[in-house]
Amino acid sequence: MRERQFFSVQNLSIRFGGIQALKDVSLEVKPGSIHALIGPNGAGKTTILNCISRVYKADGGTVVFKGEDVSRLKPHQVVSRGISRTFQNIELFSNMTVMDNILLGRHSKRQTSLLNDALFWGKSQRQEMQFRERVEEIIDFLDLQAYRNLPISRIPYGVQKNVELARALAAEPDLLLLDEPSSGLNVEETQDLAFWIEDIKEDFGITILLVEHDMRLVMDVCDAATAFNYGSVLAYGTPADVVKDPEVVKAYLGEEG
Amino acid sequence: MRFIKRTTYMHDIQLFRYRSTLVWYLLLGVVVLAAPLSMGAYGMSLLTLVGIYAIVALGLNLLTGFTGQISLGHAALFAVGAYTSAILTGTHGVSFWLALPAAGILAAIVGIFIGLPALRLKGLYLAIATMGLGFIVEEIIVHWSSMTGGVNGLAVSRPVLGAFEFSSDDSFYYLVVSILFIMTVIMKNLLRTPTGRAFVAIRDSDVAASSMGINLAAYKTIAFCISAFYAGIAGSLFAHFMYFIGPENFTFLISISFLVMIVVGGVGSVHGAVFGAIFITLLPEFISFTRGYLPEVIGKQVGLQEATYGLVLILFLRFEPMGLYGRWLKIKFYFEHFPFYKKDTFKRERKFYRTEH
Repeated sequence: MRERQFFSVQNLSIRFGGIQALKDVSLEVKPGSIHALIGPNGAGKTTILNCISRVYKADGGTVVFKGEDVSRLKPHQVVSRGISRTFQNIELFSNMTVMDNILLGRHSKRQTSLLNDALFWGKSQRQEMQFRERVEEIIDFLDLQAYRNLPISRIPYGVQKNVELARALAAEPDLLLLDEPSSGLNVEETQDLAFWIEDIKEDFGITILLVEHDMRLVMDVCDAATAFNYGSVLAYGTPADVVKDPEVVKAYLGEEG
Repeated sequence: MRFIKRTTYMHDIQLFRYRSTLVWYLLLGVVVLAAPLSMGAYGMSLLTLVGIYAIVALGLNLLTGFTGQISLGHAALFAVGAYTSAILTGTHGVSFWLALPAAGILAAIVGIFIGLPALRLKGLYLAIATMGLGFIVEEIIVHWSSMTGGVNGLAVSRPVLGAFEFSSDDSFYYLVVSILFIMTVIMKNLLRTPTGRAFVAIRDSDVAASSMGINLAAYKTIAFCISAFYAGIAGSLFAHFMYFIGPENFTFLISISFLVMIVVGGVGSVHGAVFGAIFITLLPEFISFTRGYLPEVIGKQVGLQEATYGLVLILFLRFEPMGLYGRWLKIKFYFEHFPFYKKDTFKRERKFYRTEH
């Protein structure tokens, strides 16, 4: 008998017009691991994340998280099941402050009603204090203190990426989806990111599924990797094994000729 | 320069950041309460209208400024509030104190219908759809004469509390001011809690908002609902203040003037709603005052007011998109940071990110 799976994707398919973006993709993420999705441009990595977080509706297949099929949920219900994400092209609320952005990450933990909020008394006030306390912890963790009260449009790109990470963490997920967390970061920022990703796994016990192009980052921090090309799985294993896989080498470098 | 040492999380979100702010607001409160002593009857009626329009503008600002959903149908919601209150108190003899919330609630229900297109439409298309619904309500008022009095309109009485009747303009002014105060506090509270943040999130990024767990359809509907509730309450006050309402009080131009209010006042700010209401109420006064001094070709034109609305709107959008509130912030900044103010402080930055949607 197979033990209950933490997170698995089974036979996921999606088609955009004439392009079969994903074809019968199956993968499994072990609890407490850092799992990378790699592959050349257009392989369908981001599409998988978008299907999991229900930005796209998959044509077929299931996504099972902690024993529940989450592939039929509405987009806003996914985060309440314990899956939160970041975006490849930053999707922050650009006219709000860093603080408010991260506070929005806690929206799924909201307990108050509209009436509570209108009066801002008792429960609503306590909740707001709790939210802010938790957000301050995350701000400390990701070194965002200096930017706390600045609007997003006034902070540098690298920091914006961190704010997105902070916002995803604020939801206290069990599974964190990161879409190219290191794109656009310089070497130093990527180093910081690598430490944070490991800390997120070890200190918060959050499982991470990330799409990443920076192979050094993948080799350094990931426990497992799945390689894709043209919407299908090429190889699965430890990052070191996957990069040596002849199919993967062929996909990246072309055939020896 | 002022710095604040924050010792509790409450410091970040309290209504008055500095003690001096509280003092200024108390002073403003005294001035507002003492206004009837120094103003004539005409001035008081203008001030009462400012209060009523400010309530509408607060609501519309929540919808357009904070949630990013445009509405050109707010005159219709204003009308629903006015007629509900007028019919309930006039025909059915219901007390004003029940008719007032009823007007708000019925407007909120109509607001849901006006908001339905918002679940699928955006920007210009939403503007046209809400405009259409606004016209529908206007036509219903004209043609359903057994209920609304049609083009003849309805007479409305002033509210009574126990033995006291709000028959004088001064007493009605105090009623409007106290309701405006309550509505402002509610708005401020909503904006500093998850509800308000969710609205702003929807305005800034649909995708991110829903991935944070915000139900877009529900929150857009709630935004329309709350906004309509404000318009309904204001409509009810308007009806009882004017003694008489007819379809001409709720035309499309009124919807436009509500929109001008929030743009001129400052989109996405609570202060802006009040500034805008003051501006829009005083503008016609200013126009009729200057008419006599203008060359006859311009001064005698019929559409002078509408044209001025348009001109003001264009000038604000071009030169001060943050409206009067933005200007107010800049002046405040100048004095707070004297002599460190430099001309580029508020220069708008160019943005190069977010190419894909």
